[in-house]
Amino acid sequence: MQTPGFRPEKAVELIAQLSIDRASQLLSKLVKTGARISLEKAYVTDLSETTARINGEEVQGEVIGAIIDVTGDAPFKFLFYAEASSCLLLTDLILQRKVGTAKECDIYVQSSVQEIGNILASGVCGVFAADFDIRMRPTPPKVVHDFLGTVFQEFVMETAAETDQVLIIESRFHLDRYNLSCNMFILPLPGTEEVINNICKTKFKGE
Amino acid sequence: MPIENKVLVGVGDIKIDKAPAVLSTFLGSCVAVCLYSPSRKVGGMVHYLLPKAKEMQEGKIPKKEKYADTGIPELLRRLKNVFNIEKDDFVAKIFGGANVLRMVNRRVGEENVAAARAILRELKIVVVSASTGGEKGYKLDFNLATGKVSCQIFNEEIKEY
Repeated sequence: MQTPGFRPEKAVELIAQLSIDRASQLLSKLVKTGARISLEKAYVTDLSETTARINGEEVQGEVIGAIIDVTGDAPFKFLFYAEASSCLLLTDLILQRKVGTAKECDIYVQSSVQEIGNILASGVCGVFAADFDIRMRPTPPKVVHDFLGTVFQEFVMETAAETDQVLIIESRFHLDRYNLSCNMFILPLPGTEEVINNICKTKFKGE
Repeated sequence: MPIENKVLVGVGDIKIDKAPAVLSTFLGSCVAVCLYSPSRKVGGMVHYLLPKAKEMQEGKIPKKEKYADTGIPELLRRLKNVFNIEKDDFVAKIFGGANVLRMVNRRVGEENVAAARAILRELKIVVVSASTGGEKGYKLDFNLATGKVSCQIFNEEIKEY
């Protein structure tokens, strides 16, 4: 797949890489099966173009996602989502039930997606805190069960109101054993990229 | 089944076209205003985020498409300029404005819908149909050959407006 937009600075790419590696490890541990990153990219893009692209994605059925606001020195928004059928499977894996037990998007499924979102966002915060000395705190996840286009729009809404060009860190995980894909987006709020670059410059200069 | 001639409309975006194009988008708390000229079979859609544009800061011009008060007049301006049609030939349809995240402190969706109605009233453009509010997303396909908007609220049947 071609990377849309242009590339961000190296420091952001580094933190994106570390965050996604960490999130991948946590997801594997949570569902007790290996997760492979099949797509990973960080890019600066126009929001209208990106949302139009998402609106054109083939998978436009129902998805379940967790949107998390991460506050602190370098605030960002975090989105985890998967197709509803994949979320049912993830729920069975997390609850260690027989695969196929979950039949609909009930409270267990919503709680599982909420928990995945929470754990992954906390993992990303951990990378910021441990490796870059940036204090971050995730707020409780908001679980949304809707069209992909609608979920993504609510995710970018706040940032879109502030700026036209955004940095997006996008990753797709694949659980080979179950042929299941899920997606993760990190959307730094305006000013965050600068904070990360400044901290990295200072840190690496000092070492 | 995939729609031919589909034109995707993103967030903070305006698209105008003529038959047989179909303008498509998904909405949450955003609102889409569709303008259509039945006699010429041309129309357009603005998909905006907020009711009112921020004041210009340090010479920076906000993107008109993101706001109701600048986006709706901009959509009309483009349609008039490109297709040479008078304002009175257009009818309007309004969609979206849901409270998807169930926010209690600020209901952006409701504000967006109210802004659309007020601006269209000011422009003296008749609103012939609308589907707004609720807590679920909207999928829209605006067919410029017929002027009909196929609207599906998440987990509900498709309706035509």
